[in-house]
Amino acid sequence: MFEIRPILSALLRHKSSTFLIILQIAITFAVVVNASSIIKQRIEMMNRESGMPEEHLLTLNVNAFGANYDLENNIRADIELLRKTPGVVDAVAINQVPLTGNGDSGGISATQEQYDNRESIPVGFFMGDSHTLNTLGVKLIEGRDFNEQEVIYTAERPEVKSSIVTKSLADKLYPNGDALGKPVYIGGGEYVTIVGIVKKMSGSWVHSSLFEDSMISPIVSLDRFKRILIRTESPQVTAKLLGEVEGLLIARNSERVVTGVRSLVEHRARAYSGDNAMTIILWSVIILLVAITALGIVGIVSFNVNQRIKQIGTRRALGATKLDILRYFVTENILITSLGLMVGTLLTIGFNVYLVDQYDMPAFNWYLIPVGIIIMLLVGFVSVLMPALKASKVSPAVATQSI
Amino acid sequence: MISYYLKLSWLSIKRTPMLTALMIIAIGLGIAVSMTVLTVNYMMDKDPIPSKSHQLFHVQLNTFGEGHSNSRTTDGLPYQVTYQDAMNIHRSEVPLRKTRSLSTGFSVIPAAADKPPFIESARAIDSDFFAMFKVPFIYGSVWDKSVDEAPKNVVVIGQALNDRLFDGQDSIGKQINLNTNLYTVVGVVGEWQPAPRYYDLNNGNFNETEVVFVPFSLLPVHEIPSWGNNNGWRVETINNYQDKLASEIMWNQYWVELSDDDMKHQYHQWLKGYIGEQKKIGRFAQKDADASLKNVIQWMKQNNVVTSDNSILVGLSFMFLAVCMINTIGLLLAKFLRRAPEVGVRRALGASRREIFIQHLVDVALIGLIGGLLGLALGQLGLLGVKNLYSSYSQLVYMDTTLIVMAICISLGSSVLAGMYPAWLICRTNPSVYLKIQ
Repeated sequence: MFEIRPILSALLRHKSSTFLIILQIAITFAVVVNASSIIKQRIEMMNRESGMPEEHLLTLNVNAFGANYDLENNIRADIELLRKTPGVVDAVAINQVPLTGNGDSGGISATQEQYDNRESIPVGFFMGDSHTLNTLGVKLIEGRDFNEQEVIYTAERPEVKSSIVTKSLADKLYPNGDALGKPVYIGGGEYVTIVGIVKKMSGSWVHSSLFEDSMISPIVSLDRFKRILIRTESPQVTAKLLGEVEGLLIARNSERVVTGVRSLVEHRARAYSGDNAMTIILWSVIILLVAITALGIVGIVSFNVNQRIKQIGTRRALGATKLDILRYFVTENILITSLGLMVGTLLTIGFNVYLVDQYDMPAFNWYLIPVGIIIMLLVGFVSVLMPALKASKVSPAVATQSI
Repeated sequence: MISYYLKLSWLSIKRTPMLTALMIIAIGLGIAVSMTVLTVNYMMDKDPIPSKSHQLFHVQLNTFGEGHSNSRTTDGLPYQVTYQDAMNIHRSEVPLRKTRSLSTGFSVIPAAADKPPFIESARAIDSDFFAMFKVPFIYGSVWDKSVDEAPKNVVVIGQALNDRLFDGQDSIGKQINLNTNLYTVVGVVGEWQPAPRYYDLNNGNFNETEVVFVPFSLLPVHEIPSWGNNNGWRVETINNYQDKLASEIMWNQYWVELSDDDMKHQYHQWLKGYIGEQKKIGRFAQKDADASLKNVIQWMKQNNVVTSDNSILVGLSFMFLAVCMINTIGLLLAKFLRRAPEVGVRRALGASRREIFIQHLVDVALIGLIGGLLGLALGQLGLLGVKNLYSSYSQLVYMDTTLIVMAICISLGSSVLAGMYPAWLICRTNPSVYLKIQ
């Protein structure tokens, strides 16, 4: 029915060109599946929920240079000014801003013993006043927020008693889910008590393992370099403030320079720019590669058709229908593609093992293989269609014409 | 003879325009993709200071306590050094040149009241820095060596800042206001943008170079802050700048220039002696605490200047090129076999196998050359795309002569390689078979 035997014997007569197409399809398949796997993993990473209303957030740095600059009063006055600005929901002087790639990190643990044994958990340390959670826009799911009396303004090492942690961190410290009210050791025999747990909050480093593990302390450190985070009512206000906030702060006190005025949306784009670029490059590679393979199939089949015009004519003259001819070439192509995909599956696995081994890439999802197979078969089918249709139009009269 | 071959090749290309176009497109795309990726990789990996990359060494000291290590590196050593170590090892007379180094920044306050202050990134260093890293001066020169020990408010500025503050005039002897302190300009440096910025791979590998350089000895005087990484490993109470200077926090960098292996060995011995001394006062607690000297190339490798994404893309792009070439072999087989009868006639008329073989390789080389040129053109488009995707790479993504020659060589080489088998097959044609049919 499907003329498998004559196809096979025809293929065996062209061993080298058949082998080349199989090889080409195999490598294409291995590249496509592995590249898709990387794309998928990057997109999943970029789409992680941040837990914050990013479009409503903007950040800036204040660099104070005045010789007699009063750090505490100026920070308080700046924050007060910003909170009173129309369209601003809240503002906070903070030591680090999520997604920016800058900040403080360290290790903490549930017991002093764990800390001493260096079994500490890496975390991002956030410091701000009692408006920190509200400004970040993160959701408190257990316990309480900081109150104003707890906040320490200092340039020295503060003695804090309370802290708020992310759910992800709380579960790592206390896997039983009873972290609230428990101590957290931060070194030097000191500990702080967990008074609140937030549902989700992004850390500063998007590629770090501690991305979702953050601890917030009620401290405003008095530094000449100070980051400020502002939450607005709407993206429109954010856009407006991006242009105006520098002037606003300098007008209040000109003994400083305001830098790095950026929205969190921009920070997110910067943080993931490498991953974004990688996905675009890989997409281009996939599309071009599939196109080349498809063109290759078109070229080879067209050549085969031209070579066999006389034979095709003879078959037509002996009663084969147009459909029979079409089916012959399509079946031949499916046969070759399938062989290529079998070899390709082995190559894909080998390539992936290498990537996992050498570059710590995650292993690919198994379902990508069947999906890839279907796509490649479709590509093969579409590419063979044009030359196969041309073959089916060969007139039976060709058989009777001599050269 | 060669012109005859070329003429025949041209005729054969004209006879099978479709197949030839397919081959040229395949080779062109293969070259374009692999050259785009290779360019970025090659530029990243390029020796940024070829004349001195094996004389400049970044110093690492293992000050970690027992059980601590740097989890981000293969050797576990800290990237930077403590202030006290930077000060202490600076006493060594062994190196040809040496510099302490810190990434920092200042508010620059213009003299004219109507011009607003602005921020510039800066570097606190010793006088040797400029000679070590071949920083060119356009006005003046570096401060006197004595300033490295006895601090003075002097500064070397970059051309961009000189343009901004002094309209590009010779500003030697003039003063600039940094964080409300007045500094005297002693030198202006010209165009200097190594990529990667190998002298500090902790703070943005492809960032712009600083435009303000101040003596490292000013650190305690003006309490100059770190704008780079500060890595601590033990619990310390840091209440003020003095505490930080005396701490085990690693926030300074140290580079030396060692002219040969002897000097390197001697310096390593000196550092070992220093570590031995420090062990007596309880520092360098690890039993085998040592120093490591990495030259520029080793230091770039250690800091993964070429990211794993780049390496993966290079691998993928070569697989891409391989597919294009396999594709070309397939198409060549088709093209050559179609010409078998003609070859039969040529053979019968006395052409040798060698001549037929060469004829077909010339065919392929011609196609490879055209494909390579197409690939170069498409590669420029690819690089334009990369430039848009990675803003920080803008200075990396251009093809220099080496890369262009490489692209042509790859396309010619791989297409001739691809043409070998089909050409060999066709030159074995038995003339009698075709003559009979004719």
